[in-house]
Amino acid sequence: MLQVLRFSLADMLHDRSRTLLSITGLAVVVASYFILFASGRAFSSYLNVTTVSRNLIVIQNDMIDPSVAFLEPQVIQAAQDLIPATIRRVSPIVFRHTRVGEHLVQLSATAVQDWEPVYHLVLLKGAWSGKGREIVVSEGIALANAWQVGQLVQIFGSSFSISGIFRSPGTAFASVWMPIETFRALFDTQRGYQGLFVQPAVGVDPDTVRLRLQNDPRLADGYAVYFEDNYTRRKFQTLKDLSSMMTVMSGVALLGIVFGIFNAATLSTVERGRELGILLGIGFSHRTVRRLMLVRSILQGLLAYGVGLAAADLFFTSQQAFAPLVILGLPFSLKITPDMAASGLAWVIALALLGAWLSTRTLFKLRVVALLSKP
Amino acid sequence: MIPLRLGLRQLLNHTRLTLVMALAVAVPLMSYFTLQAYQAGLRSSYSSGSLDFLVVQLSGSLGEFYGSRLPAQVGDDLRAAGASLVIPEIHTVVGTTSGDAVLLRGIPLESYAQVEEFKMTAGRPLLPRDPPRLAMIGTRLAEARRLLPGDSIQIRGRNFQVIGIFEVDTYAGNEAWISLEDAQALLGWGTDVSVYVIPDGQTFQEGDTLPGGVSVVKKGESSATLLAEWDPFFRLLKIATGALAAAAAVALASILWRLAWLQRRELAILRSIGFGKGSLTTCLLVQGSAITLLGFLLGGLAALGLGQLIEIGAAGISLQAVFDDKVFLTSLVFAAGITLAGTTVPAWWLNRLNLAILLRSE
Repeated sequence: MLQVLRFSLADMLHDRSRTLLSITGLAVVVASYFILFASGRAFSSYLNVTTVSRNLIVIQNDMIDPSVAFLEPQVIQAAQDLIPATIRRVSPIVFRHTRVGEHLVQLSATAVQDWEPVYHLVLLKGAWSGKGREIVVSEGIALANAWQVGQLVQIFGSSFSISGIFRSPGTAFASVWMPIETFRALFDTQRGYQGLFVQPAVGVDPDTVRLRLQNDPRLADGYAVYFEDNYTRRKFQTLKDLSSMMTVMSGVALLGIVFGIFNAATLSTVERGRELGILLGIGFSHRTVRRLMLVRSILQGLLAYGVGLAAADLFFTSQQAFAPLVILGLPFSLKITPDMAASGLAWVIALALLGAWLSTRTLFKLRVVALLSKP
Repeated sequence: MIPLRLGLRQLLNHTRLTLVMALAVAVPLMSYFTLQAYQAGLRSSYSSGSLDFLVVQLSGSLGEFYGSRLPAQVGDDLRAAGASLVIPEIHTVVGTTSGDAVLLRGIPLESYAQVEEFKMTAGRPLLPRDPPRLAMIGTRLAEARRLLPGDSIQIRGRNFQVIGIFEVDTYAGNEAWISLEDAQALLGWGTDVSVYVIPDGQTFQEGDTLPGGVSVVKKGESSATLLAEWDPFFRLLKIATGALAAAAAVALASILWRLAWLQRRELAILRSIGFGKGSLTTCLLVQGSAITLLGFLLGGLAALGLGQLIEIGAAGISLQAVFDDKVFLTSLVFAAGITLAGTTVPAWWLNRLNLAILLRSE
């Protein structure tokens, strides 16, 4: 085996300009595959959102966009009546989609003291907003707009100072949070809330709380009670189609490996039919010669895989640093995880073998004399 | 003619290689076709700018889709300020998931036809003094839900009778239109609306602001904002597709170079009997074009299949791949780019070789 490997390496080095060309082409295919596949994964990651939160969300029925929903006071009262035995805390919230900086963001406003205990926002930099013209922003949107703590941003025609940057577990919306009083003053509205976050008491089964709230006559048929992560997942179903599309395209891109290896191997055998005939003539078995070509193809595939992987990783790193991906208000972090790298490697080897096998399949049906008579 | 025949003959001699190379070229072309077709679908759905009308909505919102809610007082203020036509509309998305979402539009039955052009394909339009719980729906929504006039559609748990199906060129084809009063009752909005549509060129101009965080924008601005939101996705696809095209061009160059090398003696003889350097270039170009053309057909067919297979649905709006003339032509230009990139380098390299050396080769 070692001899076959050495022979293949020597052959590749001898034909180094063509080898380089083949590897370059295959590496680009591998890099494209990783870009498409990582995108598909990034989209689908939103479909599998799980949070440590036991929160429930109460919103109007059949209202995908909560920003135009309305929460009647008796709904809040229904939840408050269950404090403290069943419910630990309730937090009414208002939402609004608006354009801030270069992107569409979700503006959320609620009592500042609820941000950490109810919404599980984790402060990464700066401080929680406290004064009138201060906001906190999610790390995704901060990265996308290159915002820093202390920077001024325009929202709704008014200047706001970024007091902190946070991380939100589970839902990674490009979001901006502000105190409810600031929101009311900014939008000049005293209209009620749009949703209600409910935190069940410790030791109480959240599903019991959900059913109890859902069956409360004050909610009647007008409101739905969801688990927070379930609600989030429902909202992200849009991304399922994008994820499917990227996965299909990444699979198609991988076919480039089969075609590339097939072409390289076929041309090699066409050009060097006579040499192959000599090898067979002096006693090399068909199996050995085929193994030689398979090993050569795997080596090319592996080198292309290494270069393609590095190129894709470099692309993701530079993209994250200079132009983070934000689509429909959702920040996406493209990266190659170990399992993606491993499956990519398996695919490259398998497809390189397939390409080489297809290429050599007919060649070895030829007799040695026929191979020797090739020019 | 001789270089042309020589090039084609050589491809026929290596049928399997030609076919596989065409498949390799088909991969980036399929990606490019798909990318262009979805972009065309997006443009055709969302490009609904209007020179005649302005929209008064909550600042920063996508009022023509969702996210804007204005009190009736705003309408009164607009009329008082001199707007000759003030048409209130409700725009929102209803449903429990983006899969069953419906874009809902509440319209004043007496004036809605003045601001939106549509063509009825079945049934009749909503008319003033129509009873409640009637809806007219766009063709895309009708196709997706397999609805016909007389059927009923559930909107927020209430049954509405479909009275007509209309056709428009924009995203409105995904919408269900009901009377403004029905929409207000359904959403519990009282007298609130989402937006007011007013004529352009009168009292208000694009960019004007009103008290309460209300602003005046061009009709169609919400569409432009949503189009811009999709840009990063298509940019990413373009990068991946461009890389695949580069790989295909490299592979094509490699194949053509090697095929030409195999026939270097014949090509050298041609040149020695008077054919110019251009004959070799022609031969390679013919081969490159034939391979790319086959790849173009295969890639186009695969993209058509993918377009049928995957329909992107985004909160009530289905985004379909549109294969129009522009998509076809730009993809053809893209294919020509691959051909040129794949043939120029080997042609240049082979033309540099010494004729005597080529003639001696065996």
